[in-house]
Amino acid sequence: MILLFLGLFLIAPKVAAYAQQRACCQETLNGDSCVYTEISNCDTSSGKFAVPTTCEETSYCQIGCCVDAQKGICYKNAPQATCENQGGTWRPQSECQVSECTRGCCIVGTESFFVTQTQCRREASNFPNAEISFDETITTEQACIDKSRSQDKGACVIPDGTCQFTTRETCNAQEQEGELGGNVTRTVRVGFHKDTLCSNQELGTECAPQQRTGCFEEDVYWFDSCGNPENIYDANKERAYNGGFVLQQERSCQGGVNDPSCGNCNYAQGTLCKKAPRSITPAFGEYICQSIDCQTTLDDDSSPSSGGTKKNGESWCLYDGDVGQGKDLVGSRHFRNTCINGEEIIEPCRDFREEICVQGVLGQDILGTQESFKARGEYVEAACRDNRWETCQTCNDVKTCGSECDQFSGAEKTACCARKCCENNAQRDCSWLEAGIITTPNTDEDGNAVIPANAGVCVPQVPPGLAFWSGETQQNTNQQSQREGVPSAIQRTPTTNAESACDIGNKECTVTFKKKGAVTRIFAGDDWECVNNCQCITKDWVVAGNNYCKSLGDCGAYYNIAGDITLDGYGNTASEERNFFHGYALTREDIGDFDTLSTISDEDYTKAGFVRRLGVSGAIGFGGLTATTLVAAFAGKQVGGLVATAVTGSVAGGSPAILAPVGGFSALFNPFAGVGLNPIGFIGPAFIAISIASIINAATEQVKEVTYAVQCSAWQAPTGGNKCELCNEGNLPCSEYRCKSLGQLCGLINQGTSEERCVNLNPNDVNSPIISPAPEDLARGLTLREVTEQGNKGYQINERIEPFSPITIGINTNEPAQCKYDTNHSIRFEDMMNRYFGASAFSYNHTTALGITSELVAEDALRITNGGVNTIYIRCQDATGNKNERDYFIKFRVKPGPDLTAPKIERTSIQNGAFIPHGTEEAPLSIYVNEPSLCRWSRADKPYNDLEEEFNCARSSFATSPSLRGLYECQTTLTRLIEDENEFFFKCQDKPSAPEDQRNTNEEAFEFTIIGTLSLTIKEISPSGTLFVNNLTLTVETGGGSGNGQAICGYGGEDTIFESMAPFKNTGQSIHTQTFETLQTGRYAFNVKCRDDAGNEADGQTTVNVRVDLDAPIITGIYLENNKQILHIQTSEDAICEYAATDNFRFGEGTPMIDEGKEHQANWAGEPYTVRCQDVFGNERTIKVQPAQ
Amino acid sequence: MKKGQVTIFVVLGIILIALASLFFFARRTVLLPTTTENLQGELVSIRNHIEECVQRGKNDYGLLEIVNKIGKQGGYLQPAQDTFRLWNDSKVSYLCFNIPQTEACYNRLRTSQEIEKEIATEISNVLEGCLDIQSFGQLRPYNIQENERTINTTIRREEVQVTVKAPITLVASNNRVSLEEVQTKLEVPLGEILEVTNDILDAETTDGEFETLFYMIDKKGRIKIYKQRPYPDKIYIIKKEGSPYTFQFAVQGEPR
Repeated sequence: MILLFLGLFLIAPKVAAYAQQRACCQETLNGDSCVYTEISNCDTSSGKFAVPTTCEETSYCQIGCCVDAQKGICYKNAPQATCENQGGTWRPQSECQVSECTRGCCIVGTESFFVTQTQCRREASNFPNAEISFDETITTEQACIDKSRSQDKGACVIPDGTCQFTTRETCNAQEQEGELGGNVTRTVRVGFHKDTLCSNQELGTECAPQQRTGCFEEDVYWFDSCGNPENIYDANKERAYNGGFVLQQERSCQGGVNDPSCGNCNYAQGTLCKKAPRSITPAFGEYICQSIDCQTTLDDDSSPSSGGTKKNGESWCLYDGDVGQGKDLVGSRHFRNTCINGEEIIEPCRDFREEICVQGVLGQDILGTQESFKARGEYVEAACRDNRWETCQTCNDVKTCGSECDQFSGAEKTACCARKCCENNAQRDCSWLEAGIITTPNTDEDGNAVIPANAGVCVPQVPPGLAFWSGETQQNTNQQSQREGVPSAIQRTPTTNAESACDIGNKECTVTFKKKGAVTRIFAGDDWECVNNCQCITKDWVVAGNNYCKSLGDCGAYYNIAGDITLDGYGNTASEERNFFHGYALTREDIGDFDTLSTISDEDYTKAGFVRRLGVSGAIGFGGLTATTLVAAFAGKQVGGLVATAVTGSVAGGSPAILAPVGGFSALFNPFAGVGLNPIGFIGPAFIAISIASIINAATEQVKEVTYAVQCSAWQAPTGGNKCELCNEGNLPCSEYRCKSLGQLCGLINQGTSEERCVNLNPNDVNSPIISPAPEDLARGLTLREVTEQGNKGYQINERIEPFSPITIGINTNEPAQCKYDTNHSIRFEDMMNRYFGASAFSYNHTTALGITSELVAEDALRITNGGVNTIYIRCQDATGNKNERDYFIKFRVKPGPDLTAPKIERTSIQNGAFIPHGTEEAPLSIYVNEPSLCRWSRADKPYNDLEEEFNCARSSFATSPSLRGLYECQTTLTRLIEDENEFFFKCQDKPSAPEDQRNTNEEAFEFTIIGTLSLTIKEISPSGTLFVNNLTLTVETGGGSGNGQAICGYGGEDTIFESMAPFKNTGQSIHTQTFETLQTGRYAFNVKCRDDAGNEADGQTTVNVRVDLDAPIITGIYLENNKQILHIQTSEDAICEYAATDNFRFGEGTPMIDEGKEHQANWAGEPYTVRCQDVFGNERTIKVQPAQ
Repeated sequence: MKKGQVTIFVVLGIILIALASLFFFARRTVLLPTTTENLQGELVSIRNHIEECVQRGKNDYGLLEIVNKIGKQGGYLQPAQDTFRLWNDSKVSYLCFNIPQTEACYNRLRTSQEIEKEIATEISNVLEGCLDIQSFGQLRPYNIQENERTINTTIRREEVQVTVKAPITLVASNNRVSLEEVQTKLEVPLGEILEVTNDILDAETTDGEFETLFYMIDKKGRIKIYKQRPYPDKIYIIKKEGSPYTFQFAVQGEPR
């Protein structure tokens, strides 16, 4: 219920908000189920869930057992939704411990097979009448098979006399006996004959025995003429034939490796049937039992078990250098090699040394982890397994343990317990570093020693690899991955933060120095003397600090797999001390001899590692301290980060308890001591003097405490990137971790492709790739010479290339680059189309084959491969984005090819699909062809020779059209045109003067259409007659023509031609309008002409009399009526009148009179009125009406 | 012999040659006798055309290319986002997804039935752009009746079989012949390799690890399994001896 609510909550309205949110899709838009992806990929229709959590956290995708009842198969650890989507039945038991999935022997009649109960039921349903049982007590397939006879083998003879050596199960022949006809009558024993060969003469088959040898299962067999295997190959044919019956393997010949006479191989002993090498000639046939051991394997100097001959099934480890005890080199990885059927397979263990490769020798005791790295023996077996280093640190906190450390007490017992914990191989892969570095305070709250200062520390046996490079680089990697379709959310490096992991190695040590009193200083010098934790100012402490640091992972100062050392990951403030002592700075020599570190050595074995494998010279050779040789005691405590040297000084004095003179001092100021002299009288003053001196000494003695810190941080790759490419060499796969260890500028390019490479990605690299020719890529017989033209470099192929042949050409670049090409010059790299010269990946060698349509568009391919001199222009860019600014060109000449191309009609004088005027019955037409040709035409599509009409064509190569240069004109007159679509088919044939069978003829016709039209008419033209207005809109409606009246219309004088007429303002459709304004009185004749697309014309005329009135209406009468209450005014024309008591008003502001054309009336109050009357043209007349006096 | 007689013989000769040419030209077109045998012959051509389309498609993208792509991409033709690892130029599908904080993974359950369906759909698309059955009927004295086409794919241990159920009937005046289905087989051991894949996934889902060497020995080296470890995933590449076919899939891992 909760899920339903949550699911519904997340669906639809929230999708946008969760655009980047990842969720577990019950179903994705692609139909997948239970995929943890961006929520936008989820199908949230029909109530399907998309909960923002990983799938195993949901109820609908929880892991269980999926039972496919249809096929009877059980799938372990299957998500519920996926299972149910695919029609399976889901059970919560993820290991499929359910009855349906228990395997047993399913017995159906005489058949038996080892399947699940569900599969058994399914199979049984095919045999409704058979007796069925399921025996759960049979737990192996072999035992189940043995229950059945169905696996009996023998000759299966069918009635036509053919035979197949097969199992009873697959033989359908019913036993019977019959005669075969033909020239030779023979009796055929149809049916299944157990343990009988098909070539057995008693069966009467057509199969002849022992015709050839071949591989069958693991052995060499004789085969009969029907292709059936017989018995194991034996040069003694009679013995092998065994009278026509099956000869069991144990009774067959016994041979060894490469035995030319016996094919009885034994896979367990390392022989298998294979084709014989040239050096061995079998007595018959060409197959023998060959050894499947790996005769030569990769001989790796740093891997004791590598090299030499390996037996089939043997496996061994391959390392990059010394392993264990914290010596694994940065960037190194463990590999497991296997030998299987003569092939050596390299299987990398998990990168970042998250897995280690351990070995054992067959028949010997199981070795400890460190010993297993050096295992050697007759038959070595190896495996990659988890590097269990994570709990090493916890052992440093162990203070108690069982009875095994009872012989110790106190601090020694604690140290013993910690070491036992550390060296418990069953639990972890750690080693005890006796370097004197301890991780916990070495005193308890009361100041008692807890662990002896020199007890050592528990560190990983094989330090884990860390992503020691900067976070920015990782981000870039992810961005690249995203471009390549790999989701950015997937991290490709360990989650452990390198700096945090190395911080554990940060230690501090407080050292006490003392300066003697003033009197003593006079005689014994002014130096500070170390009095406490003095081991921390020694060279050994500096070296030990780094040994501990680098054992934590890729921390501190150490070597990478190429033998380059960096010291930057390690610091020690004691090295900088100049006041109390001269601090010792870590040197390369202190890290150890790389030759030793890159070598696994034991008493009788010494090999060099990764660098020697790659043949790099200049490996460093020097001596130094190693972790195991260091015994310097170091007392310190762990600090969180970098610690500055802290100096605390104090001047001691006043306390008699601390005033005890040191031995030297006593000797100096007590000259009688030791000689037994004590003269009376001298003792008193001497004692006083000594006492005074002691008091002065005590008062002036100085004590200072200085805290020194070990600064352990992530290992730093060597600067630069000169050795990046070492990663790509050899047989071992490169990885980002391996690549990054070789230099700070190293980076992996082309990730996810077959061209994945580690290269120098120097940001200061501003040089574009240098292109050079690759003559080795040219086809045999072709040579090239380098040329420079106008400052651009390139090469030219000396020989002429056959036409229509793909041209394989190549270039090399001085750094991995991506190259494109174009047939036009001076195109910028980014503007070039995606025509990659070779693959799109960054690589040194680039080869492409021009002339293949996938490389070039078909037209270009033809053009470039058929005659003439052709040039392609290439530009490249390197991994840091530097692009060539100049073209590199490749020039090649192609032999002229035969003209196999039919002519092409390029243009026509009448546009294809054009309309033709009404009534046109014939139309002259010219077509323009790209080469001299003969052309014909017809109303129907027919073969060229069947086209009825001919064009009149220019036949000479020089007779090109004057208007269309390069084209050849052919003329004809199209006839019998109708008022509808007129379809024509043109075809041409080139080479008019050549024999007909050498001409190229159009297979497909050039379809040409012209459309006959109706006549264009002017349906209506308006206005006409007399208009008493000074503006009008001339309107014309057209009909018919090419476009149902669609035409262009113009107006003008009576004799004006269409082209000279003024076009209507609105024209082009079937209604055309033009407005005229401010016309004067007069007669206007409008001559209109219209023309459609086909050239049809129509004309019309209209005449309009415009009468424009400029005179004001005349008052023709004024009178009163109805007892002088109504004023009547008469005007000479229709008008509108108004009146007002004042004459100071404008027309429109007065009181309207009742107007009836020329008659106007208003109420008369007997007062004077001013009356204004206006006709329709606005002419206004004003009169004043007043009562008569 | 008189001149007139020679002319007659020449004319007769020309007529005979013309008739013979006309016969040869029209024999395959208008004059093709509509006997059952001839129609069967035409049907064979149509069958070959369908087979050709299944195998090569229109642009050399047919069954082999599809099955190869399925192999390179872990049983999917178009792996969706977040479901594959780009490796060696291929989008290698995860067939087992990581369960955080555990060694094991959960099975994506890519069944052979699902793969069969995907191949069938792709073949259907290929045929859509390739088949032109009606072109066989042009200028021929028979009609072609086509019914709805369905594609079935079956993955077997040693082969992949595509059955194009395309009932086609050629109807002439008196005769009619029918073609019910066309089967095309591709010899790739996809079925057997998928069984190996299931064994690997069984181990991965349970133990989080699969021991390649013992398995290969058990199969007497006839099956080769190459395991690659691009961090943090695993990629299994499976091959069968004697076959160039490769099937590869990924198991999703988790950075530590």
